[in-house]
Amino acid sequence: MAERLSYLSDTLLRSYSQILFSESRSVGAAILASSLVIPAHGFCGIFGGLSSAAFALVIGMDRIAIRKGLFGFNGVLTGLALGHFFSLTPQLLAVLLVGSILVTLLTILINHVFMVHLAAPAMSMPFNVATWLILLASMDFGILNAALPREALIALPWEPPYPADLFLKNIGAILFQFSPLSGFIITLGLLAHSRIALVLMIAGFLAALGVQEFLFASEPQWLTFNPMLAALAIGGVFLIPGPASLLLALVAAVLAAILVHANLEAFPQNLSPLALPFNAAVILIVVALRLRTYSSRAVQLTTGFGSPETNLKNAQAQRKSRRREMRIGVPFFGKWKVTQAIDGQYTHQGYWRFAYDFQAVDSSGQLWKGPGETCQDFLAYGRPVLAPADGRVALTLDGVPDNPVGSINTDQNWGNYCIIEHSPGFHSCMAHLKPGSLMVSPGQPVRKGQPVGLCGNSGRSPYPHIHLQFQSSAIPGAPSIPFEFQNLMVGGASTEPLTFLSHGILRENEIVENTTLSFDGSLFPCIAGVRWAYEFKTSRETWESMVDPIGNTYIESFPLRTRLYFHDVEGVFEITRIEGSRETGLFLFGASISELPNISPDRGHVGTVHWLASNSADGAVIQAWPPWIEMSHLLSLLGIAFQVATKYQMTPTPGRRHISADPRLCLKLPFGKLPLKALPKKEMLFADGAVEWLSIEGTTVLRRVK
Amino acid sequence: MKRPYESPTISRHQGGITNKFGVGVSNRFQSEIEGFPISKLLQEYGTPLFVYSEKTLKKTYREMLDAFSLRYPKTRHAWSYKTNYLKAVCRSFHRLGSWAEVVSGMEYEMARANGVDPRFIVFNGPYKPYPVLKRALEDGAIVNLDSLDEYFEAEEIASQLRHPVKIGLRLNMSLGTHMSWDRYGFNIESGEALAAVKRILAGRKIRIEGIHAHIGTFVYDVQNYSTAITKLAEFATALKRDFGISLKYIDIGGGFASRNRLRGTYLSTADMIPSFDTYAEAICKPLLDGLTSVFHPEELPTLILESGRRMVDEAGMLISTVSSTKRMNSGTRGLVIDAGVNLLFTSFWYDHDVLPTSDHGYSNEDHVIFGPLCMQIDVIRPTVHLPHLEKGDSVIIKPAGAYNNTQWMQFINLRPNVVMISENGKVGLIRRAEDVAYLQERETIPEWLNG
Repeated sequence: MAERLSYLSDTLLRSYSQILFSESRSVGAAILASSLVIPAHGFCGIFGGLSSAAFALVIGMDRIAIRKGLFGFNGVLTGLALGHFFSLTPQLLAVLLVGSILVTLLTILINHVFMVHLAAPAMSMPFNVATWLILLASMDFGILNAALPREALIALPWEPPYPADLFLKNIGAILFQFSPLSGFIITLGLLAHSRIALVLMIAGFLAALGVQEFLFASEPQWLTFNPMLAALAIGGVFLIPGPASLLLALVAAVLAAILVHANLEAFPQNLSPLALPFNAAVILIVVALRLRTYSSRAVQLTTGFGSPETNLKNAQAQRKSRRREMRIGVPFFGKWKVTQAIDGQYTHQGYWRFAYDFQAVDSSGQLWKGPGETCQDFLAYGRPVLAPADGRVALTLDGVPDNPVGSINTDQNWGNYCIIEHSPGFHSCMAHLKPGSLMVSPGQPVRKGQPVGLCGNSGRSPYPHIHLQFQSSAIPGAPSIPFEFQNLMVGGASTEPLTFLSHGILRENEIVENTTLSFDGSLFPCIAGVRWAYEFKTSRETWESMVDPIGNTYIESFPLRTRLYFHDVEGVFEITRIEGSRETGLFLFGASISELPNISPDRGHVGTVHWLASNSADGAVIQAWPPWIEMSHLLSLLGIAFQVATKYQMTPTPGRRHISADPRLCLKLPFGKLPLKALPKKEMLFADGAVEWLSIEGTTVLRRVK
Repeated sequence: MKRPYESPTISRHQGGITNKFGVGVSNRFQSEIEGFPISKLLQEYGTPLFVYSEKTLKKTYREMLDAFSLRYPKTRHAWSYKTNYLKAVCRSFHRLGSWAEVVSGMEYEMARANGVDPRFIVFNGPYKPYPVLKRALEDGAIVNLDSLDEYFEAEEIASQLRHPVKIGLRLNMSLGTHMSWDRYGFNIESGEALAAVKRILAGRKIRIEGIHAHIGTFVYDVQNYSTAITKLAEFATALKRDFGISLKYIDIGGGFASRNRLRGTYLSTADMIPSFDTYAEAICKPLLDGLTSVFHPEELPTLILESGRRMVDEAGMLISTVSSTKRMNSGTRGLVIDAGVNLLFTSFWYDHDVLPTSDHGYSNEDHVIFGPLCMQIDVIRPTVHLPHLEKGDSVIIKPAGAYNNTQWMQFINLRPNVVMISENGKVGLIRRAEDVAYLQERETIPEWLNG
């Protein structure tokens, strides 16, 4: 019984919240409350919503979708619409019932057609069509009387100034409520649910107002809610919020505003365009974006529904995990030098900008031994060339002879090469290989780090080197596409400090090698059941390493539960997700680091390793100003974000790794980063495969107990 | 400038057989080591004197690492303690990132005392008594078993320990022209090695983690390494394919030749001794080729090198002073210097380079160099062309870094000072000269000899 009641209340409340693209029950309650400002009117809305949901249930539609309000919200709108145009009589309710059934049937049909053929959302099109049909039909129904103007039960104590009153009226207009109080209640609900949504609605409103003033347009009646909803949909619901999405949202608002006038002219006097301009504008833009050829990071479609803030957070998390799926390493053993990088002055120009040339070096930075007159003198010549990531060999060429040092072969530009397909539209090409050294053939699967040939001096190559580029087709000479490497060690020559690059591009003259697995295993053993006991501030906690049924490794703390999911691969310990309580030492540990290269002296990496990590600011990291975090989401609309940039340093000694973290709060602006305040410095020590202690500003807060 | 006096010499001509290299004369001498005048070193530290150069040691290490790291993804060097277990020398290697390779309980304790993590101590050798083996296995060292007897003891130890015990197997094999040292480990061709693997798997107490083969010493024909590593790779592949054992390491041992002249060879060291690149190519290419069919790139076993001689020989030098001169009956000039086979044990097999420490003019006379011991066989060089040296002149003998400070004798003379010159030019004493009290420290007189 309680379950049924909760199902009912969820369905009802969410039918209201879906009008503003939300699944939040509190938003739904606010909207419901605002509709009851004129009780008779509000009642129609409830009736419509419940009827349409009930019919969906009766004919067997997905119960979870019904519970989310996806079948109810069009019914609510229909009910509110009919309740607005006609006075409340039993006949109206009968017509409304039929209308709700119609709306549900139309929801099913239009959703299906739109999704399958357009990959576009149906939104409130079912409501539009159903209401038009009922309004048209009702012209023949004599018994339905036009509604008399109704007075709101209560009103706002004061009259808001222009244009705020227009804004509030239009928000209310979404629900066919024209009192500023309704609009005010909905605005409060929206403010609680998503600040970005509110900002987008205001932006859309101002855009529409701007169009009106600029073009001396006639009064759009109360249809200005169309541009407002269009801005919300494009700016934060269907696209990840950001400066480009904001611009597109304004475009959508302007488009919707123009369409409002077009519809007003096209439709007959007694038929209102309702929400057609909004639906049309949004569907046009979303379909176009789905069918585009080049996708850019600035404008990204969301993959699911959520508040704009949630979409933003999910997008950031996805960006991180996408990096992990395809790890690209450098195609050689040991330390090599980047002799030409992206936009290199010699040959990496135009279509082939995004490419690297690598040559092997010795500890003193020499590229060749002896006089350097023959290929054999060069350290790179004859060295194994590796696949930079997992894939399948697409195309190879052998038989092009090596050039003598100093001369090039421009007929067979790429020399002997190996092109590997890593995923559709993503191929790597290693060129200038030694003739007769290809070890793989087309169709053969290869693993990251597997030798595919030897470095040579064939093709347009005056000195033995490896040319590496990524391209979208398997054709040699195809234009290069940008990419990032993962998990590299850069520098380490006598003048440069050794730096760990978790992801990024390389620059000319950098000395680089892949991170490799340590002999003595990972920082944390990836086996279940290892337990450590800690003292965190004044309380005790236990950590246990575990593996979940899908195979994800994590550490969980007790008694306060925090879960720290991690990956330990290629000698790099990465934290993927933290869930649960923020009051534990485990949370503090997880919030202090994102990646740790597993360096230990046995690997010959002696000396201190440095690296940088940038993470979006999280309440726990800043620890002092939670309200600022909500502000930071709004700022992301302008391309501004709060970030924590941390400088890490690790000094390995036998069996121990000492890490210090120097975080700084930064403001990420479209043109660069502005450092703000320095945050408390942290230090931690790893020994025997466990965290020994963690200190903040010199005070130990977490200590392992035996 | 006044030219140094060159005494007239009488050389006996031998008819019939002509020396195809002709008679060469040179004016080679070395008066300083990395900027330090040898005369000053002798003044401060006495004679004879061992001198080590940290700079040379580091340079050689980097060359070795460069050569191998370009050719194989995971290479580790384990410093061979038997080559030189002076603490300063060992610690210099460990600071560069070397593990330790020991062949006895004594060396094992030395490595532990140097702060080496037992997980990075490779314990080889045919003699591992029970308590020594137990300690090593308890500590988690990398123990390569030499015989089934050793395995049975290890099995017993494993049943007492709470943590899993992992070992490696020493293997020997035919190298084509000759057998690798066949007294060590299990033979591959006869099937002995495979039988040992099966026995270990059946015992279920011990995991096989690696294989090891040390094929010889001063090996200058790299084909031997290629053959050895090919057979090791085949064995590793068979273990993975047939038993599912994914080895964590393959240890190719040491034996790389240093630039010393092996007695009985006639080519110059420049022509005969391969570079690190040549060794690396001979080892890494067959290894990679042999393993990639069954090992994924991230599973490839670590390649462990135990090179000792090649790493340290050229970093060490011995300075000695002429104490008397003779004219032998054959007409050859003889020099008696204060360092003999008691300090330079390797002179039994090698013709070290001997250079005067100041300009005495051209080397125009054949000499034989004797040490200070009263043994006819105490000869550093039976024949060497040197200028006319007198009593009090000193010579520098090199390379002397490998084996001489482990195989030196407390015989007839006390062992002298050993110094090291750091990379940034500081001289430090790393071993003090011995005295009689030190020599007799461990002796006791039984009561019947008292009074």
